[in-house]
Amino acid sequence: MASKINHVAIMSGNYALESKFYESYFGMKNSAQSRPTRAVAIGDGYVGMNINPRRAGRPARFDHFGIQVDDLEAAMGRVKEYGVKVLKRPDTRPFAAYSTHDPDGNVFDLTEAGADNIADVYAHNDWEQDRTISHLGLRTMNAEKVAEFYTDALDLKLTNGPVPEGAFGVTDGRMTLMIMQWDLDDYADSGITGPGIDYLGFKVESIEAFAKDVEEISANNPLIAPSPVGSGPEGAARLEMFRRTSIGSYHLADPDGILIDVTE
Amino acid sequence: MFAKLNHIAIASDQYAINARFYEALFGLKSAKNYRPARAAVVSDGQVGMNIIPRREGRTSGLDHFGFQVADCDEAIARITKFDPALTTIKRPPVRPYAAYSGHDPDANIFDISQAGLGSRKDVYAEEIEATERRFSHFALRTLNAERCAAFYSEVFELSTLNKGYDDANYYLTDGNMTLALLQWRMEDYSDMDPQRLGPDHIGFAVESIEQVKRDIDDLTGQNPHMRPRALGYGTEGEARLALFKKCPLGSYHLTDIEGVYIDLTEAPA
Repeated sequence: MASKINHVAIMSGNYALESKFYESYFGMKNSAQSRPTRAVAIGDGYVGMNINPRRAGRPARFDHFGIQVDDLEAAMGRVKEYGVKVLKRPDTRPFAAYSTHDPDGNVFDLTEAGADNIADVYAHNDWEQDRTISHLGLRTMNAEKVAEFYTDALDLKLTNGPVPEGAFGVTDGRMTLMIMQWDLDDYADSGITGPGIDYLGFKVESIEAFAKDVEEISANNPLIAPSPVGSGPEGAARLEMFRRTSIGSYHLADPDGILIDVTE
Repeated sequence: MFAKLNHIAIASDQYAINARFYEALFGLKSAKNYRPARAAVVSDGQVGMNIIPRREGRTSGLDHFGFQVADCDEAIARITKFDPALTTIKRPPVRPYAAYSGHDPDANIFDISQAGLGSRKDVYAEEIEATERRFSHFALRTLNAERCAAFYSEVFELSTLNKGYDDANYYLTDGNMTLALLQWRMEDYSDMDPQRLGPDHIGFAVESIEQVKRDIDDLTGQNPHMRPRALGYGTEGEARLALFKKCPLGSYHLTDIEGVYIDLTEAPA
């Protein structure tokens, strides 16, 4: 079975502006068949990103991710062996056919390659670009057990590439899920964030070129400038933790404050 | 009484306007000696709510809650006794409320404070007159509601309230505020986007739901920034609202200006 981690979803109170940020700084592209009344869906030619308008009762955050499999029935069978439920989704979704969760309750979408529901950037995703989504960080209560779930049930592989110390990297060969142990002690000097998706990772052609773009684009349009990271003692502590538990060498946050780890 | 649930925190993209919303609609009060560069802190005289500017790496929404306990050391000892794997940490002193933070077996985060420790600020350090509209409950959706209920009962001595025979949720009270532990189930989300575990909504007790409805209409007319988010529209909105309504502690449902769920019940002040 070939699995792809090729969907990420953000929930945002500024969803249209968030999209402009990812388009401007990372060159992500909108679908030619976009649906203006719904989420903005942009892609890098492999991973599609839905930036969903925040709805009543929902927090604004980096919300979930999705996995495409080539045999949905087989994948669902293995997922259910872990005692978790699988849920059919409304057919308006451009990616998700089903949603489910790992043993720690981290929610993700499942779809099948070639399925009828696939639309937007998930149906038209055959281009190459310099800056691509490469990894995401997930902090969870039982990291080892969760890593075993993704390798066993979803056929992702433990990566030979770089991972943060103590983390489990499970990969489809291009996108890697960095599964880290959530530990309250990590937040001793900053505000506390509960378990869940922690950061988004991009690979760029040159950190230097990217840093220059950040400076230029922010000056041209302050509405899509990155949110500050590392300010004050608590910000410094959070940035130190982010650096320690990621693999990139450049760290920033999108306008909503979602952490982004950039590697070359 | 060993513990009082007297702290709620929201992380917000629009913290200043959201604080105005709670002041305008529910009559919550801010401290006389507040700190304008930090969170907006409002109170009903019993429970304080920090509306915190969202920082990098954080979620915007209902974030956590807190207990004032008779003895922090005793609370920490009880947490360790319940499960040695559960940890607590000391908090930086700039916090107006929290002396420590901890988490339950499902990693729901709460703060711990102790009256008289000297670190408290804002509404937690001042006498705030009781407001007519007041907080009534804080609801979490969690994976193991029964075990979490045992945790809050044993550690904080909250009393378990009666519930329906087929109700999988748990309701615990300190005599003023109720902590609702709603059992998270994937199948609850069949007609909408699944929502991750964690804080779900806050509840208010008000003198008259009809009067609150009129006040919302009046407020929105005076100031469109005070408009709650749309609730119950479309098939998925209907499904979300139906799930929200399953909490038996409220009978009228709305949101704040950012979409945080609020339910209301009628009760004398």
